[in-house]
Amino acid sequence: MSYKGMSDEELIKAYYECNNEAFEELYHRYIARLKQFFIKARLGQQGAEDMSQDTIVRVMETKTTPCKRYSQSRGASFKTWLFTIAYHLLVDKLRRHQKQGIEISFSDLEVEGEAGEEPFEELIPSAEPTPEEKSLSQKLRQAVHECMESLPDRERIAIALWLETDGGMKEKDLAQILGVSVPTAHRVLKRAFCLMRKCLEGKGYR
Amino acid sequence: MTEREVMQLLRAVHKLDIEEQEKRIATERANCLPFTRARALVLDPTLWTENERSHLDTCRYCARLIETIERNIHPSLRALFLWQLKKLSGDEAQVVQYHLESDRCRRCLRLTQSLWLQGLVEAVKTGQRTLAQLEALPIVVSNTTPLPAPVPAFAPKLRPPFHIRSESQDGSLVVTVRETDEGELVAYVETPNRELFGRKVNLELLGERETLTAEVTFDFQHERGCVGQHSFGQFAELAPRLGRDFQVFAVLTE
Repeated sequence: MSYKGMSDEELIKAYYECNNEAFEELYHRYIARLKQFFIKARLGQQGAEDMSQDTIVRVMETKTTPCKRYSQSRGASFKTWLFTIAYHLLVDKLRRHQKQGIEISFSDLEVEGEAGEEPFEELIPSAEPTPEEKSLSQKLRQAVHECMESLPDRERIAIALWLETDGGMKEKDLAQILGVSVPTAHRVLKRAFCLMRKCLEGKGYR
Repeated sequence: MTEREVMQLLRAVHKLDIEEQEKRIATERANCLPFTRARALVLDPTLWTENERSHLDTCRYCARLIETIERNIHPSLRALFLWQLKKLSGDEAQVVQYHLESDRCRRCLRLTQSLWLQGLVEAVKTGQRTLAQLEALPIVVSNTTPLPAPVPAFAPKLRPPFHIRSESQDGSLVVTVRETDEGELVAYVETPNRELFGRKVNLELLGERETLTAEVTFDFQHERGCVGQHSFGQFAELAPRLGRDFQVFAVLTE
C-alpha cells in the first residue's frame, strides 16, 4: 500500500484503524515543519526538537480517546488541527516561562465587528517560486531571519503559522489556531508584515 | 517594498528552511526508533531487540521519546482502580478500555493483578475503605523492567548486577530493588519523612509468572529520613520464577 499519495486526513484515519505506517508517513510530512515552527518561536534547535516530538506523541495518543481524535466533520483540516496542538503546547511552555516576560496576548487587537479589510488570501502568491525567489541570496535570507527574530512573540508566531501550507494558511485557520476572531488574526498578520517590511527596509532592502 | 513582496520573500525563505530541516532530520534521525515502534515497545517491553537497546543507550532523542510516551500513555492508578470497581465512565472509561483491551499494556494489566489493589477494590466494594484513602497514600509504580536471561551456573557472569530505582510522584517513598554482591535480590525502601519510623510498606514485585510480596518496616532512622530493607532470596532462583520482566508496586500501609 502506498501512503505517499494519500491525503493527511486519509492517513490519520488509517492510523486510527491501526495502520502504523500511515502514521509514520504523517510524521515524515510534518516533523520538519513542526520543528521549524518551534524554531521560529525561538525555542532553539534542541527545544524545537523536543516540542515537535511532544506534538507528534500527543497526536499519536489521540488514537486511544475517541473524543480527542481528529475528525474532518469538525471542519478543520488535519494541518490546522495539528498546528492547534503545537500552538497550545507552545503557549503552555511559554506560560511556564512567564517569569522571563514571555506572553502572547491578543486583547489589544480584539475589536468586535470591525472586519472589511482585504483578506490576505487574495495576496497569496502562486505556488511556483519566482526567479527572484530561486536566486535568493544568503545575505537576504539572513536578513529575513534576523527580522523575524526581532518581531514580538505574537507577530513572529502568527507569521510562523501563516507560513504553513507554503505561505497560504487561511486567516480563518490561523484565527482558529490562535483562538481569536478572523479580524484579529488579520490585524496581527498585517502588523507582522508591516514590521517585517520596515525591518527589511532598514537593512537596505527596498 | 510591498506587502506582497514581503510575503513572497518569507515564503521563499521558509521553503529553504524546511528543505534544510528535512535533510538534517533525515541524517540525524536515520537510525532512530519510529514513533509507533517506540509506542509498541512501551506497551510491551519484551519486544525490545538488542540493537534497539544499544541505540537507546546512546541516543538522547529516543530516550526522551520513550520517556514522553511512558508519561502520556498510561492511565492513572486511580483510573485503573475505578475501572476495576466498574465505576469509570465516559472518555476515561474508553481510554482505560482501549489501553487494557486493545493496546494490551503489560504494565497496566499487571498492575490490575496487584494483590494489594485487588484487596482494596474488595474493601471499597464492601464499604470498609474509600477511594480517598488510596489517593492519600504515597505509591510507587515502576515501569516494566526486563530481567536478565538466566546464565548457566558454569558460565562466567558478564552482566552488571541487576538494579532498579523508582519513586512516588511526590518523592516521599523510594524503592530500590537490586542484586547484592552475594547474589541476593534485596528491596530497600526509603523516605525523607522521619515521622514514618516504624511504619510499614507493602511491596510487590509483579512478575510475568509470579508475584513476590513483602512487608518492609522503616526500622532505621537517620538525619535525612528512614530506611528499611527486605531480602527476597537468591536472584538466580527468583528470576525464572518472575519471568521475562517485572515491575515494582509499593504503598505505605495505614
